[in-house]
Amino acid sequence: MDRFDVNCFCGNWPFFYVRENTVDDLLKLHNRHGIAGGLISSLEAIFYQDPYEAEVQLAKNIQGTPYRHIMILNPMLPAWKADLARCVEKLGVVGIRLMPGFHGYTLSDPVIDEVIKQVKQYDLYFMITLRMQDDRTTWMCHPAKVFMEDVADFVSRHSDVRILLNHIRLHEIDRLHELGVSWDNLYVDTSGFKDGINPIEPVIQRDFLDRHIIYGSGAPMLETYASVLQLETADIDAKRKEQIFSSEFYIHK
Amino acid sequence: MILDAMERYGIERTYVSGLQDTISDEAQIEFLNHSVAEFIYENPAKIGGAVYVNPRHKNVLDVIKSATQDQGFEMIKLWCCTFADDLSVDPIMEYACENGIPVLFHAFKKSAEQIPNESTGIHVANIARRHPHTKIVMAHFGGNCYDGIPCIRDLHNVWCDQSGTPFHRNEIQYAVENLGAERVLFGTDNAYVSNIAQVLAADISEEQKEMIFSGNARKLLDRNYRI
Repeated sequence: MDRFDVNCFCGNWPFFYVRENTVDDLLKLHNRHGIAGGLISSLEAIFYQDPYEAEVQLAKNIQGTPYRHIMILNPMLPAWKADLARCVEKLGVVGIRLMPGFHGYTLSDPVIDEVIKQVKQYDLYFMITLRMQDDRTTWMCHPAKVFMEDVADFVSRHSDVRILLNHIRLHEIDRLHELGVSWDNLYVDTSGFKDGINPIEPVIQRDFLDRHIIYGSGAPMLETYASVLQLETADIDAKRKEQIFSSEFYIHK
Repeated sequence: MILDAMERYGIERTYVSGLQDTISDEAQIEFLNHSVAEFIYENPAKIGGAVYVNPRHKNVLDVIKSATQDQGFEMIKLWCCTFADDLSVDPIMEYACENGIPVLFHAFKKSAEQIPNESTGIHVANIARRHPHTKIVMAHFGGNCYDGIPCIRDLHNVWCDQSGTPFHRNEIQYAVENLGAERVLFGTDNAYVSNIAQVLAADISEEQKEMIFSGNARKLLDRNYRI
């Protein structure tokens, strides 16, 4: 079964030099680790005032590649709905990524309900990216914390949409569980797991996450080989590893 | 857990220190170092130690002498009891210099919630300039490598370890480009796979990887190696 990366990017990061950050670089990196494709977003689209310009560039760059385009959607921008329509209809966008910590809103903002209507209308993948790097090491731009209470409330209000949380930490998963969140429509990617002898193993031990953990690297901001090696060396059933690597439970709608 | 991880990932030797409260009293220091000493005693081939001290304690040099002369400790560890460049640290640096013992400083530049007395790269740079012949390790690449590493770039008595750093790409490469591979050390701080992968995936030579994984530490910890 092919490996598939649900959380990858290309482009420049404003605060430090990211080496090997083009689509071609990502393709080589993924090939090196047996990863056949991914859901990709533009790093520039996080920061541009008119992110559509960055989305156009990404659409051009991934033509003919195994990558599928995830738009960075900022619902605080006045033309977000028109941009979403353009992205879907002209650029072939298959999903959206919300980044509330960067864009100055919370998941309880009424505009997010409107976003969800659009997600359903276009049948899009839907992601919430909790962070892009270690929260302690941000510089100049300090994204607001996304609270698990808000996530839990959001999930309970939108039980008919499949939600992927990117770059979640283990303690945040446990907090969501404490809050009684339903995991039926909720998924987490592996890009935020780091500590311990093997960071995947304690995640797997949470039975409620069965079929809800999927492979995401966070490349090129995060080290792809770290995300691969931690799964390859995890003391878990081989079939389970391949299910996570293939992201099958999330990708196949 | 440390021994399990070492076996699993082929780590031959690990250096540990005990930490608890950010400002430890003498009893706590004694307890922590005793725990590490026992660990060393039980696993002499696999475990080495860094004696943890509070520079403000009157008995600090006695603690260090006992640990490094009688109990097998090979490094001195300072955390957040004082800033790295506090004047109370000077006698420790002088003893370390005389005996060829490296001093490991916790350093972590945080964008929020900096611990009181938590050193950053600039504090390590200050003490390194005052003691240019003492071997120093700045932990965690200074936390944020883009803050910590530039501070000590030109100070050749300072090494850096990657322990506990975020699992970003490029950090090892950035460190090697700025410090040279010979001043970069492998470390985990309980993040094994990601830190091993960072070194293995870095765009550096196999020889440089070997230096980072073990060669540099062997040289640094040799008491006969002096600056």
